[in-house]
Parts: sequence; structure tokens; C-alpha cells
Amino acid sequence: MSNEAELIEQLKQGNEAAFKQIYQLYADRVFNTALSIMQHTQEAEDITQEVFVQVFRSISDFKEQASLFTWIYKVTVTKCADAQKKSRSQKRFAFVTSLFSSDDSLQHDTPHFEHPGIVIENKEHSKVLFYALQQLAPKQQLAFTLHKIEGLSYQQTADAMNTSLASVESLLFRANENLRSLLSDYYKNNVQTGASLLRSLLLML
Amino acid sequence: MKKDISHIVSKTMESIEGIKRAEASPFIYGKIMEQLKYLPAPVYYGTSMILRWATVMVILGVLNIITLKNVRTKSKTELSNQQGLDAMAQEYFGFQQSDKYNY
Repeated sequence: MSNEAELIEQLKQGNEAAFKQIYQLYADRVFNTALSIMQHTQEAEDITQEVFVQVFRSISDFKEQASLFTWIYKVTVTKCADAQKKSRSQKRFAFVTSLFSSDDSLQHDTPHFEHPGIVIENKEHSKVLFYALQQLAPKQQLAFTLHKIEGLSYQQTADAMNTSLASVESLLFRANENLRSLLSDYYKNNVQTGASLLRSLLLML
Repeated sequence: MKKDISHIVSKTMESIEGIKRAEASPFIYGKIMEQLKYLPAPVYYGTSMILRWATVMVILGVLNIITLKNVRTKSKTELSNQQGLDAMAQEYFGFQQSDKYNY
């Protein structure tokens, strides 16, 4: 803790070595959180970059009432929420423009994101899970990511999201319920599509 | 079939167990430093700096008070000189000193 206080003090004085040390301590955490939320490597890298630039610029505003860890997560969560809003509005705009364009090749979302930290045998299932995760409300997605993927405790998740412990518990409960329902729908549709495809193939034969 | 789907859903929910943290690209740090080059250094006022500023402000305040006091004393003296001159003019010439002369 005293080491962290020293680092903060040095960073406040613009010490580059202290900044590098803080970067090395938290870069992977920030990147992993951003990657799990955005599900896009380039966007996650951009967010990581923005977070650390913000940390460097705003360290004088850091009151040391919370830990540096929590503060960096807070900055990450805010940046991710902003990027998500932007990305969702862009998707909505693309959908609307596709309705009026002559091009019929409207791209449907499919499970595509592969988290690099997933074990090989779980890759296919995790793709579907990340796909379903994107359909959740932003706060539920955030709480689920911080707790289940990033491994933060309930309290740390609440601190990072600037909310209460009870609220996090409720968000996680709803996230789990909604994920189960989304996955169930997804597999029902897929099994039906697969079965009908098989039936039509058999008929052709 | 319902049982199968429920089983698959559970398996999917468990698929992130034991997930490892993704590592950030080693080039990000370089990009951040490049970006920071174009930003002004953070302004930090340490305790000693604040004390120095406070001392300077106190000295300035004291100097202001002293100057104000001097100015007031000086104007009072000037006023009394003027009054003295008027009294002398009254005594010698029997009239108030003024800029109007009767030729």
C-alpha cells in the first residue's frame, strides 16, 4: 500500500518510471475488461490507451480515498460505457440505412468473438456466451464481465461501477437469468434450423 | 430435447470458468507515450509549493497594508499643512487664501 502511495506521489510529479510501473501493473486488467466488453481487439486497445492517458492526466484529481486499482477500473468502466454507447448507436444507424439501401446484403450478427484466454475445449460454447452477453443491458453485461470474467469480488465490482453491493447482486442475478433465457432461445432456434436443414437434405436425397 | 438444451445452456454458462486474462499488446505503451508527448505535463502543487505560495501571499498582504497605512498618513499630513497655510493667510492678510485677487 505504501508502495502504491509512493507510486501515486511520483506520478503526480510527472515521473515516467512510476507511470510505466502502474501501466505494467494494470494494463492487462484494463485490456481484458475492455476486450470482454467490446469484444473487439482494436477497440479494446484504443480504450486501454485512453484509460492510461486519462490516468496520467487526472492523477492530481485522485483523492486516494479509494485504491488506485478501483480508480483505474472506474475509468475503464466509464470509457467502455462511452464506447459501447457509440458502437450501439452506430449499429442502429447502420441497420436503419440498410433498410433504405438497395444492397440486400444485410449482415446479421453471429457469434464470432473468441476470447484468447478461453481453453480450447470451451471455445465454441464461449463464442455463443459472449454473443449472448452482448444482448444484455449494458449494466448487467458490465457486472457480469467484472465479476465472472475479470474475477472481481462483489464489493470491488460495486466500487468500480460506483453502485451499491445490493445493486450488483441484483444485476448479476438478472444477468444470469437473462443469459440463460437468451442461450436457451439461441439453441432452440439453432437446433430447429439444423433439424429442418437435415430434413430438407434427406428429402432431396 | 428440453433436457438437452438445458444441459447445453449450463455447459455454455460454465465455458468461461478458468478463463485466463488476455494480455495487452506490447505496443500500447509506446502509443500512450507518443500521445502523452503532445500533452502538457500534469500540474502538481506539492505541500512545499503550497507553503511557498502562502508565504508569498502573506508577504504581499502585509506590504499592501503597510502601503495603505502610509498613504493615509501622508494625506492626513498634507491636509494639516493646507489648514496651517490657510490659518497663516488669515492672520497676515485678513482673508482666506484663494486664487481670486482684487486688483
